[in-house]
Amino acid sequence: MNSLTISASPHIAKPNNSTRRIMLDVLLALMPVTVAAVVYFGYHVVINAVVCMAGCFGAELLYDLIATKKWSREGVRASSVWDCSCLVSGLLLALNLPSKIKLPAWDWNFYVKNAAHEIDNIAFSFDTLILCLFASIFIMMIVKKLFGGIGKNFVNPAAMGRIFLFAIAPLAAVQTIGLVANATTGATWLTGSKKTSAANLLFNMFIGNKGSAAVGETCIIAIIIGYLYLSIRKVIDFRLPLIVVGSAAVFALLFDGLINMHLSGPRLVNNMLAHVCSGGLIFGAVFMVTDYATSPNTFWGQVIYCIGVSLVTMLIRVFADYPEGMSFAIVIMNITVPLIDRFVVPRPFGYYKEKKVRIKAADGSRVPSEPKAGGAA
Amino acid sequence: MSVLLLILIGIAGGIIGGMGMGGGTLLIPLMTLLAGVEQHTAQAINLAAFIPMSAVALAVHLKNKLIDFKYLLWVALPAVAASVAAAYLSRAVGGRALSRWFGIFLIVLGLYQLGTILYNLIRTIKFRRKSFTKGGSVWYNKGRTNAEGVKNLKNTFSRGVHPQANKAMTERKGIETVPAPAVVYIPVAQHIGKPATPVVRPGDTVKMGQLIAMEEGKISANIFSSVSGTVKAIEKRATASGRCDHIVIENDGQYVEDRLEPLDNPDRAQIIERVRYCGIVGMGGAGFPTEVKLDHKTSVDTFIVNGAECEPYITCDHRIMLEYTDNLIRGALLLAEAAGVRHATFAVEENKPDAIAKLNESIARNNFNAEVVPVVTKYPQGAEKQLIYAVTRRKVPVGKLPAAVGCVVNNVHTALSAYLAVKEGQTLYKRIMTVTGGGVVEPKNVWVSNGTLYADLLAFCGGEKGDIVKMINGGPMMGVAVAGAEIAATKTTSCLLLLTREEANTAVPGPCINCARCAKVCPMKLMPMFIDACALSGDMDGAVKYGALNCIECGSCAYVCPAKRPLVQSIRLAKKKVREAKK
Repeated sequence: MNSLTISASPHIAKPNNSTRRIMLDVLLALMPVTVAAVVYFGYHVVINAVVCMAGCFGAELLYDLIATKKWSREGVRASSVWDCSCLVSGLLLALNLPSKIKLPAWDWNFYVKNAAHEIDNIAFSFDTLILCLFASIFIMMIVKKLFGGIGKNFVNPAAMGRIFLFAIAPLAAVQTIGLVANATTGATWLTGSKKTSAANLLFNMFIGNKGSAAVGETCIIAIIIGYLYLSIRKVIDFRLPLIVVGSAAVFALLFDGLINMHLSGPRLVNNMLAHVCSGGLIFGAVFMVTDYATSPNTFWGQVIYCIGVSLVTMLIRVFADYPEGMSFAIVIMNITVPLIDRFVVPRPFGYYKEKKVRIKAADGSRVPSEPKAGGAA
Repeated sequence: MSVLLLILIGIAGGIIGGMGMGGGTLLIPLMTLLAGVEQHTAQAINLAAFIPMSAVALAVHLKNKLIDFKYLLWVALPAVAASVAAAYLSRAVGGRALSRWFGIFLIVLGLYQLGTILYNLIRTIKFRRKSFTKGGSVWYNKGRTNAEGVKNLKNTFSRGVHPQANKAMTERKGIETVPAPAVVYIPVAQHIGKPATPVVRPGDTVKMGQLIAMEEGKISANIFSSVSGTVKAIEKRATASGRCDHIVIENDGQYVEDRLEPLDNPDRAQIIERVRYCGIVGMGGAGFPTEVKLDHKTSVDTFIVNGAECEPYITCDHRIMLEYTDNLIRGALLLAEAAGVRHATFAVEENKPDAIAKLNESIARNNFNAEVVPVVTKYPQGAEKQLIYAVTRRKVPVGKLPAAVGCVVNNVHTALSAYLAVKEGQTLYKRIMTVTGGGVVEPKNVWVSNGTLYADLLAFCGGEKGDIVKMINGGPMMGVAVAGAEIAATKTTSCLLLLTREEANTAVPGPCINCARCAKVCPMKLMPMFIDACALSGDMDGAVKYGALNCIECGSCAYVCPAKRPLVQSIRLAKKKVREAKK
């Protein structure tokens, strides 16, 4: 007999269940979204995605090599990049980028005219690529690895990357969202007058023909396909995105109704639907709120977190002077996660309050008190 | 105002009204909000529409004999008087005010309904926990029904995992007997508690079933010789979980047996004394002395025989239920009587339908005062607290024994041993084991004498094959990995498992990704990922806060962990550290 392994129980593990498997599932679930983004915005989305993923991969690998000081094949093999979580972060970041980034200083973009959608599609963009690299290095090295790597990062890397881009290239981001006008859908609903007047607006929003904002969050059908896949594979809790979207609808109705008292009921409902379907709400609810590391670890904690995300999003959207609040909301709620996990702890099976030791029978008669003997339970 | 809209409103109101819930609550808001009807008009229309509606609905309800005319009179007379007054009153109030008051009324009604639903929900949950009638005769049926007496609750606990059972290797194989080897090594610590003290010396001659080591203190058990022959030595050897004295006996091949006098009609004290003397311990694997469990000081109304056998691979309890059905039930009833109960409940997982059928058939044929409760196939269904919850819906309070909720749980094999001890006078020196796993040539269920080395067992089962990476004493979820085959089988060894590289978990642990899957499967509702983190960083208060001391070490958390973290190991570490700190 060859040498036997001695280790603690259990000695078997669930088959086909590993961190890498989960990450590959998420990557697969993001594929429909990526395809939709390419269809609506052009092939530069693929280039962005590849650059972001490669940037994240390289940045994490570099960090590990620097940290372990093992500049060898073993060092590369021992690096944490092989769990593929860096690729998920990279792809999410790429899908969170605006469809057009136009730096006023550079403007290294090449456009093609898209007759069908009457908007300029970017054929290739150096601006984006440079920003992609910056953001990748930032989210991998500073947001993720500096705090301990996978599972230890306290904010969602993709959301942080989006905010980082907004911070270092504010003009680019704002202009980009504001620029897209005269598409068939009218202006981006959130940056426009917020009047649901355009014909077929909701339908166009649903299929993703809204010509706006971040590339990944446009096509709701593609996001729903990813959501179904992740739910069926049990990678995410299927209830969480529903809670986010549902509570966002309620808050939208409340807040929007508050400032638009004069509007009729159907118009308010229409506004609510537009709020839910626009911006990064659904994309974030499916792919970013359900991020393991930055969400609480109990179901009720997750419920609090989800409702918090939708509340902050709607507060920003309706009352603040900024069109899209999802990434800020996610980052703000991420910071509260340790607090939630501290206070929402499930009661163990058989928990009882010290005073109520006696168990009362259904007919009110008392059962004699517990035995004191016996240590082994 | 379109006619179509009004028709739709009418349909909606009719459905609600026909069910007898007052269609006005729906009709009036629908008409005022969607069709733009003025409040007074809407209420009048509503009233008028109710005459035909209620007439038709009444006819149906009359046909089903749902109307009690005695109550009708007392309700209708004041209602008519009040409605006349209210109609005049509503004319005096303005339309807008009226609709507001109506709205408030509806909101209050809605909140009340919501409150009722929540109240009932909470009550149902609490009922499930509290269904414990003292000394009642049919508590077991009550326990498994909800407040309305509807039997819709499954016999199981919440959470848990579904590992691949792998029982097909041995579940259809009859129990064979391993011949006792030439030399047996009988450990004096085969149970929880203090090791027994040897009462034989090297050179003594012993018979099969003779007392060779006496219990030491209350939580301990007698040890008996499994062969007849000469004591060669008393030496320290490795067991599955440490080292202890082993009594080495050379087998003379005569098998001269020393039996006790069978008890024909024993009373409670006699059974307990016999169980104690025969060294019977929990044979599911824990090895807690059975006599201590039976000698409880609280009132007990439930005796559960644990035939769940939720661990993968193991089939020895399954075979006992099939092959020793009658004696098993007799033994269970003896133990039940010792515990002060006249009824035994067999809890068997649904993946053993043949065992359930066999037990039911035996109960019916012999008119035993016992019943079989099929429980859901899930791991860890056989854990004591989870099993009690599945069968009775009672939760054993944290840190208490099952007797606190009136239950005593014993393993199938324990019941069989009790029968052999009381009715045949046989002391506990052999047991049924499953030798299985991908590394065994011929997996079998076997009778094994205590002190038989694993190597002899394996030789009987055709030897080993394949790339074996783990040898386990017990099941794959809770068993102990051992270093070699030179270890002796004991009273509590239910399984010898040889796992090959494909079966065993050999993955290197990765960092925790906070997926919370461990918390979602923990049958004790703990948070293993936080206990792990606290234990590794030395924060024992944190580990206790997240429930380290309540862990039953079932291994469900580590089983589902995608990062393959050894969670049970860190929880054990935390438990040990906390206990050391207390001393």
